[in-house]
Amino acid sequence: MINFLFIILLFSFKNSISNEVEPIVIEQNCKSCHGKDYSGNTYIKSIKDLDKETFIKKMEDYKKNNDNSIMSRIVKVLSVNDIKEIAKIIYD
Amino acid sequence: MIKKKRFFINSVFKLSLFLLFNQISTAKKLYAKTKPKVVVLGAGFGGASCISYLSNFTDLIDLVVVDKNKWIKTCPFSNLVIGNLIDESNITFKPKFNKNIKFVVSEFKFIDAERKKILFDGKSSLDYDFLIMSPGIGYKKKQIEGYSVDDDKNIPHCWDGENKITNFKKRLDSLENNCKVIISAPDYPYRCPPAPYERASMIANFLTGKNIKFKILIFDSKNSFTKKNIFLKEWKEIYGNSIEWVSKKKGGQISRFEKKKVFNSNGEKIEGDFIHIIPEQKAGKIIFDSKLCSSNWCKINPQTFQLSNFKDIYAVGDSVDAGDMPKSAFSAESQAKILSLNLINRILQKGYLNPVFLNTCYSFSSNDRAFSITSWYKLNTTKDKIVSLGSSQSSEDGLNNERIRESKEAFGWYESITKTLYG
Repeated sequence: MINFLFIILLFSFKNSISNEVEPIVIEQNCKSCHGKDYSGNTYIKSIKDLDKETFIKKMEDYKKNNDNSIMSRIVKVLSVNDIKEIAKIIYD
Repeated sequence: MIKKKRFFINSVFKLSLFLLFNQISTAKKLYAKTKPKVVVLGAGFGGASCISYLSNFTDLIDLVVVDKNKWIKTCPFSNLVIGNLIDESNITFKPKFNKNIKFVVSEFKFIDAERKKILFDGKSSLDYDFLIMSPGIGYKKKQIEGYSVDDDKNIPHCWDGENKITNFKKRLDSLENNCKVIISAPDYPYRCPPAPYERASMIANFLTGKNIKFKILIFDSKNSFTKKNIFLKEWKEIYGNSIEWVSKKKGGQISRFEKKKVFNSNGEKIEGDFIHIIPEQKAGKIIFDSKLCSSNWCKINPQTFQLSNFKDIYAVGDSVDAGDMPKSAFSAESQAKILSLNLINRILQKGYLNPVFLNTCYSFSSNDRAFSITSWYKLNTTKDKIVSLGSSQSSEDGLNNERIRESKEAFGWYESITKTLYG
């Protein structure tokens, strides 16, 4: 069981974009829609108004839900590790 | 309150720290007398994104932006002006760059790469240490026989943000009941792959608003196109049989143009009341006038966006061969971030960041319906090409509320990006 979890963890890490690039390079792309200061606008949700845990939860939900919305398609490619790294940059 | 305070240390500031930590003194020694001058040619999405990012580093560099226009008219959303969804004033911006950035409004004529000078009309010139070119697209000399991009008698192509949308719409408005519109779509690569099909949708939206019957024939130099199945379905649902797409293998490639008629590669004559040729494209004219590029698109180092043969000249956006990335405003902005960061790294004599890019292209099919395609990109293993990590698009069977939601998200993206770039 531990071996299995280790393999899953290793696989997940290997597939992280943040394993190859600085997380800040991924994070900069979020601003294209959410705005320079993440305040969003009438049509795009504010990230600024969330807290770190809510942000991570919402991003993980987009991954799990797979509802083919623009956010779920963008987040699908990111690993849980990528999401946590992005959250660190935005909120820590 | 605490949360708000934390946001003052936003990620741009962190980025500055990330790049500048322990490097300022090195940079000051390197450029003891004057700060290096970075000149950005073109204030479209690619150029303005570079300005937006580099403006965080004006302690380190002198920043100059040059554009022939004081007011920037964006190509994104110009189809929506044609479709009467928005007004032309909604896509026209007077950039509000930071006060420490010099904005030169002048037409540039030539880049002297050897002497590191930009020459303008008359005798004036501008020196640079590093040049970023973002001139957008130009047009190939060889177009469809009989068609000239510059002939004012032709329907304006409206593919480069010039002031011709009014003329385009006036001529569209003059069409009468049972009119026939012909659109010729070029082969790849060209600016914004789904745009010819969005344009067909917006022309249909315009003509529907006039309450007249019409037929739009899209003659294509390709056998498929991006988001094809969604477009076909949307056209059928919204406009019935009024829009028809003709693939290359079914005679879609137009080979000759005459007034009110075209001929396809099979020699068949097709007559129309409004013939809209979307021209064959290549990198912006200044690049060829200055002999900086020997093929249709600039060859660049995809990690830095430096031109292959000119180490102090960079190019970004539609003018470059960006591998799998489409030529879009979203792509240009994503590329500009990496270019800017790695230019600062070069000035600071630091290692280059490995890039990752994002692109999303929205297309409208009517007033409140849109759909999208999106993809992340990174470098291949040999770091000489940008490759897609797999694109994904809206559902072909998207429900009404999904299409409406995406139209709002498209407006949201446009509002955010234009606010960031032009203030």
